Amino acid sequence: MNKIQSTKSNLTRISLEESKLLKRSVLCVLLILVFQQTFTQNPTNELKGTITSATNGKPISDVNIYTEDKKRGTITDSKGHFKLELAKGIYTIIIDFSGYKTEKLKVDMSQNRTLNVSLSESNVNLDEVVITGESDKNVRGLAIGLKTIKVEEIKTLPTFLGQTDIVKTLLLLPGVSSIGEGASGFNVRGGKVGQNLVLFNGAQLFNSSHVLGLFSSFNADAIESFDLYKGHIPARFGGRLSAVLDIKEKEGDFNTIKFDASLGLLTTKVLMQGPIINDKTSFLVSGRVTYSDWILTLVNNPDIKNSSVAFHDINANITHKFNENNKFSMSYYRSNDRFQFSDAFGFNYETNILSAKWKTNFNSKLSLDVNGSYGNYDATSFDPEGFDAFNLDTGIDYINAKGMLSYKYNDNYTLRVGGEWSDFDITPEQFQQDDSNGNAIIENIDKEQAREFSIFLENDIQVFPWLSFSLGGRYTMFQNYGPYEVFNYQEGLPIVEENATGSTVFGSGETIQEYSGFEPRASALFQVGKHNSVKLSYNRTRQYIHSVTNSASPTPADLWQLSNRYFKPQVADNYSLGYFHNFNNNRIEASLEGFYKDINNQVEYRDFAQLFLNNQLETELAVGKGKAYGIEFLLNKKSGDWTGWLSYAYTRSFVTVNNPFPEETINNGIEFPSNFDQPHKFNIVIKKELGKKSAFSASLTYITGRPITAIGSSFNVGPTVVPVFTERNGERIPDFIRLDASFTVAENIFKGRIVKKPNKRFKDNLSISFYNLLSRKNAFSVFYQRSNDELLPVAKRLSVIGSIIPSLTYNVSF
Amino acid sequence: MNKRVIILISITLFTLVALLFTSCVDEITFDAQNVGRQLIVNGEITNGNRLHTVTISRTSDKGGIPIQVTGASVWIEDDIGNREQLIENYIEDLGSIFSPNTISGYTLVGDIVQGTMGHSYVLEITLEDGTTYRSKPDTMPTVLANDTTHFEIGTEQELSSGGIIQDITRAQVFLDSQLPSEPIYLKWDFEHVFVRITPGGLRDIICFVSTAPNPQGFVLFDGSQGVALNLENQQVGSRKINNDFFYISSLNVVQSSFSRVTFEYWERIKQVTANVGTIFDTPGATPIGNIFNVNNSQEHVLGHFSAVARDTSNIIVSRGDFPLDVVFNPCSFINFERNMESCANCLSIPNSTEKKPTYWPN
Repeated sequence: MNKIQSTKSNLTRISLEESKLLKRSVLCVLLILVFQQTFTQNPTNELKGTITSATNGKPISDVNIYTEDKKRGTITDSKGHFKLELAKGIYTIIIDFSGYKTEKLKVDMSQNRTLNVSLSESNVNLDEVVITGESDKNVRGLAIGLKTIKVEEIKTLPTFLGQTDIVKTLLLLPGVSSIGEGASGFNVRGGKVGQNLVLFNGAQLFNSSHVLGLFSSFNADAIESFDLYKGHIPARFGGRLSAVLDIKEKEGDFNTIKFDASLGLLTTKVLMQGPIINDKTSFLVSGRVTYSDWILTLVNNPDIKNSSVAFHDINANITHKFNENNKFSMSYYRSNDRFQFSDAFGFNYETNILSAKWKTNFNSKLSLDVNGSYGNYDATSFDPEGFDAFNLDTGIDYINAKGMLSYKYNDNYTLRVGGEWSDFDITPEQFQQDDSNGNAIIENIDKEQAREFSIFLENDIQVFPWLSFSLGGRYTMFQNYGPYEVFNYQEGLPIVEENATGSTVFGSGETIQEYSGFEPRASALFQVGKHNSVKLSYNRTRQYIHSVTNSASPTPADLWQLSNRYFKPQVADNYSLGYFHNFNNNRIEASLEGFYKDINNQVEYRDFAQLFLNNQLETELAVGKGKAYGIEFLLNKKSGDWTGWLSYAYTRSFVTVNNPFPEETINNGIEFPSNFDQPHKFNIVIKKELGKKSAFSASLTYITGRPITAIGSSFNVGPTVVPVFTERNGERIPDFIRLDASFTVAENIFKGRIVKKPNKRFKDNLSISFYNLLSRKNAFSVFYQRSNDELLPVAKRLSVIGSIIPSLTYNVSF
Repeated sequence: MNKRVIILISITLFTLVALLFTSCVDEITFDAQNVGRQLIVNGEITNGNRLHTVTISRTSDKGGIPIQVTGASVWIEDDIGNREQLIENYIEDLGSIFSPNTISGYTLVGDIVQGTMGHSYVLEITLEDGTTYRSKPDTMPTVLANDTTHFEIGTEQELSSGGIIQDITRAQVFLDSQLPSEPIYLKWDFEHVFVRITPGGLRDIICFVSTAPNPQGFVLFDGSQGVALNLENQQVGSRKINNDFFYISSLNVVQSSFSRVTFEYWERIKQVTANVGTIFDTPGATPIGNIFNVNNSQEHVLGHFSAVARDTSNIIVSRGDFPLDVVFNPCSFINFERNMESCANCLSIPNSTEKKPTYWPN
């Protein structure tokens, strides 16, 4: 039921039919009013108010509010507030937002009005926007390269095994890709997975994938929305070079206990939320678990039959509102995976994050946000069987605290200032293996610790209605500290094991190496008319923690290396330029963005690097330069019967490692494509409403195959055949093409049948998805394997999804 | 429940079970165009009395067999000032009219430069176009391990060409090795030398055929710690038991003791050839040895020139050591047609010679 309140009495709710009848006359009135306003400078009145959700009472941001003639419009802010100046007259105001029923309201604007509206959810979430948060923000928003997505809006996209997936949704956007089907993480604008800052409720996440990369580790039911910053990165974010994914967890309902459940053949999700103290304290608990092993036993392949896949994740939070201006929340997140492929290899990995957040509004202009978090990520790679069975443990612990003071002087100026402190502790590598007598052999390799402190400043300034700036910066100080043993090498010679002259032992807390630097962040917006704008930005970003891998695919056990005497911080200069244009009252938006990124001190593995159980990683890695550039085009239809988007991105990414010594040089010092150099990416996403309760959606993705170092020739040394490889990343794996489709076939399937007397909130539906409709064998990775009768390894493509994957999911909430 | 929904669920369940996790591994090929014409130099000098040969070739453009480089001037020099040129395509006289043995490549045949433990050696090559290459000095170690070998008959599983896993009876060769209390870098290769006889008018031709049953399966040991260990029961290879065991044959374990640099070169070869093949393997790279272009340090030369201290331990076996039902005369009436060429002239078998190995029993 909609609750529509008006502080003035002249609001009348009208039906759609009535609105059609009124349309012409209203249009005439409006035209007259617009004419009068234009030529006679008629005084205007203010229409303001708040839009909330009828479901949970929470304010809704980014709601489109516009006059029926589409000549005037605005969107709500993060608190659901909006303000619209209208000339005197009678208007039909349309309020629409994805996933909610559209409202049409007749308003007499002979004086200032306040309009508070609660929107109720639509039956199927298809009638509106696909990507929101854009609206006219696409044109008017300062941030270039920012995508805000609400989880409700992606629930009808095609899913893999019924799981609405945040990362898989990101992969449908231009500039975001992954190196293979099911590969871990995501790459933004040619950057490494480890160059993305993934924040969950403000806390860092070091692995965002389940089952290597088949699912993301976020339970979409517990997520409110997520922002991806891939161009301009505001100064409040730091520590990574390429992008920021900021994921916001849902708060529990403050008034009603609610349950949601989703039952699939391989996974089940449950969510419970509600008040602890009405209107004061709420809780939310959700869990997701897979029980997929049963289906592996049905497969005829003995390797798969003997494999094992298991994961679960848990989200829990409590939010307490002390009063209107003070809110405290605490959340816990846990993700756990066990993956074993036959008797060959496996991984266990686990993330635990505890975070707390306090928000205080001192007054309507000044507010303070304080976050604190503790997290750890532990991974074990193992060989489960045989004489060479082993366990290798790696991981990282961290503590983070951040505070930000925001001062909104007026609509034209906002100041944000704050500081952030982090402490990283890479846990020692521990290797365990039994010797031939069954005695345990344990080997430990100590790792490093470091702390990072930053202060930041952001100024959002609107100089003229057509010109805005965001000017700011971040200054970071980094300290690598003991206890740790640092190896020394003979000066003037390459850093290789043979040139080590000894080591220096640093005591607990003793400074080993310090770095600091300023990171300017600036963006500008030039608005040309109401529907066009040009945006540009320059950002410098620094990264003091390097992801290190030398395997063809990222693994959950990839190492993290802190900046130290031998590895300076990575520094990137990011330049972006974009043109934005909206059509049809912001219902269709288009953008064309270009970017260029220069990276210094990028860490790459040397040929034949041995990274694990090595306390001299400086002898296995080399430091070089990276660069990436590209253009991205997006055409997004946000409302109507058919919605969806079409995008194309051209992205290049290269690395050069050319040092004075050949031992520290890669690829002979010649520039080579990075692992993530995938020039062409093309996406089409369509969504169609089928009647009132059913929906269809489909997506098509094309990405150029990733580069790989391949065998091109061979020679003999005696009887032994030695492969000759191409230059690094000299070849490419086959291109990636995937078509998915999804049907939401009905709603309230069991209501009134099995559940005879359901409560009013009871809702259910059945979702059928078809993943990889073309049955294409998109590569997860390519590796080399030599069979018994072959002398030379041959390239093998592993396609973890080699056929159509249908899924059936039943969703219920009450 | 609605009948249509039940049918829908049933169909989907069936399809899901049928198709889910139909992961697959299939072979793909790359049109590698960036590899070609790289110089390959391979050679060694040992402490034995063997002829020391250096091969020079270039990689082919499309990944085919390397192309031999002829007409080069090749020299070996030692650390006491001796220098000797190698002879191209040397014809070895075995004292038999049937088997003048031509050794392709460049062979050290004189006695100016001798392979002696503890000495360093350098290879120098000048191609016909005047380009000069040298190897970095490589020193022959002064120590060897003391090996003893034994064999067992066992079964190993093999995947047939038809995709069926079969149990194959094999002679498995094991090594016990006593290491010295000095740093040592070792490699063991397994070879099988067997006899094939071609009946002749005046006399039979007796061929000694050398095979490397596990060419990619060499064993490396890093003894840089210099601890006097006893390695026990280390399998170094195996050979399928077949008609090659009809006559007396020898299961050899060849020990090579290297410098650290040469050992690291072989470690890298091991890394790219013994690839077990998982998605998490380290991406490959071409092992680069110790040969360099004197005038162009950017040129990557493939191969390696090494000074190797070598020792061979062997086990002489005969047909009676193996199950009689798997070993028959390869040139019997039944088998002759299948082995016609090699039975008519056993020297047509690759790596065959009439030269009797020194360790062969009389």
